[in-house]
Amino acid sequence: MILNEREANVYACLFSHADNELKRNRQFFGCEENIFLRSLSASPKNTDYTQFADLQGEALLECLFLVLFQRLPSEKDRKKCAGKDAEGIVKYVVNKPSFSVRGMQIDNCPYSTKPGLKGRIFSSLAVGMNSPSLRRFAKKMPRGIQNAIRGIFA
Amino acid sequence: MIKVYTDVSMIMIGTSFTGIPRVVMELVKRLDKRSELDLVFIEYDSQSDAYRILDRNLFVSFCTTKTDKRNDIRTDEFLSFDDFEKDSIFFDCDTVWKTRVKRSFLYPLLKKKGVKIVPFIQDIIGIDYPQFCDKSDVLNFIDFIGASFLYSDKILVTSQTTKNALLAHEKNMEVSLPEIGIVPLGGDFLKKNEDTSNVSEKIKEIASAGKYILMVGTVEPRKNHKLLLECFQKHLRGWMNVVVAGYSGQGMNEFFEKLTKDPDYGKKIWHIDNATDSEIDYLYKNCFAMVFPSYIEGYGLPIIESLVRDVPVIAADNEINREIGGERALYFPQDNSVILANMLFSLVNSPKEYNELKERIKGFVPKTWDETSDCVIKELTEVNGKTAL
Repeated sequence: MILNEREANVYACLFSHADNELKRNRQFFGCEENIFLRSLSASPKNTDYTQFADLQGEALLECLFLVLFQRLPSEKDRKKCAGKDAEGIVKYVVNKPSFSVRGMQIDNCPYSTKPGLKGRIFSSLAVGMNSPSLRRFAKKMPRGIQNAIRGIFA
Repeated sequence: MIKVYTDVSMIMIGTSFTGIPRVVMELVKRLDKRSELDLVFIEYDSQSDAYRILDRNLFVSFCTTKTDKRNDIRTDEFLSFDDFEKDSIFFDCDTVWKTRVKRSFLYPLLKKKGVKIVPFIQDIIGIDYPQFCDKSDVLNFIDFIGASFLYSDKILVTSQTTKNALLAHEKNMEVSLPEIGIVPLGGDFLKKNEDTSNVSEKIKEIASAGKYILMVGTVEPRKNHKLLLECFQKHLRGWMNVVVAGYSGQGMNEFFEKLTKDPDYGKKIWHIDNATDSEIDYLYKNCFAMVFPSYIEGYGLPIIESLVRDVPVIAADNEINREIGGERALYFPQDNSVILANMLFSLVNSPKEYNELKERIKGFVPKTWDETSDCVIKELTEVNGKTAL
């Protein structure tokens, strides 16, 4: 959904305030305000690609991550997508296990949005993602293993 | 009866129940007993793209026992985004910005259906102090707070400090905020005659190893545990031990590396990350003082928990700590380990001063969780009486 002027003003004010605080502390968001605003109001399951069709490169990557995974791309994601065109970025995103595990769909996309083999395998682990006992077990693992598990499901 | 929906998706997958989830669970246990409310607990299900209705009795029971049979709580009934009834209340009190359903998406839909929206905002640290938070979390939090500003019928907060923080943002915007109600949190966690047989030998050994200051709370950047470590290493070593009790949060690798490499780690300074309620209670009751160096808090329940147990509190001098601790606590300038150490030294060497501080605490009566839930009922009833904005 596209924000109206009133909505955009509120979110932009809050983003700007937080952005200024980060900069005061020599930190950065990792995305521009307009990308953040474009990620708002997204449905939890179905995403309409036409809302991002004009974006390219990192802007598209950031927007898709915010919409689909509620997070910014990691440095590793950014490196892997450096130089990719829109089709390459979409392919990268739909192959992330999170895309399949969450059962996401991208509508009106000119490129293939079918998850690859890795994604289809991990979609069967969707139950495990939400199992508190498995999550509790994973939290007891050494930090390195926890990060690896997060990386798999990210 | 007022129909009230509460999204508890994060509690349904959570592994620790401190902070906001703890507040939600205390509230749920009490609101369930109230005949004014028809409570419906829901959890987002991504496969069906709808909210799954949870078994109310089993969810309330889980909030008490925390025994892990959460799959049993999930029913086969679903609620689509279109199914919320007009004039029902959507009471958003959990860490909902972490869920799949962005409030920038949900709130406009609910508004169109005539649902009344009441978010319970415990702080806006993510916006005012984003440097302490994960950046993606901050963006999700902005989504939640922005939607709350735009679509709420009433906003509930836990302190005047948070209300002031919200109003400060209103000045920069073209919208007027809805009315903001303050709902102070309860402090009556204390069980009478806490059974010390549940306390491990390790905890008892730590408590008897010498005078110690205690810090309770998740170990994360905004709680400023590094100041305690600095104070110990530069000033307290040899005459005051330090116990840090709290789950290990993100972004603290450097702190834990410094802590665990200290030669006195495990002998004079400890981190306990899985203490039970009984053990926390034991640590409180045997400590010299609770030290609270946080940069910012939503409420600061450890201050209340300390005062309830007649434990002296020495807190960083900021607005929220002063609001919660009032005249009963001592305050030191933020980040000043020298003054903090001097205050402790003065208290250790002057039993008269220490006893005077303890006298100031006596008679402290915290708000109870029953009062908190009464307050919530009052606010929701008031919203129910008004037409949706």
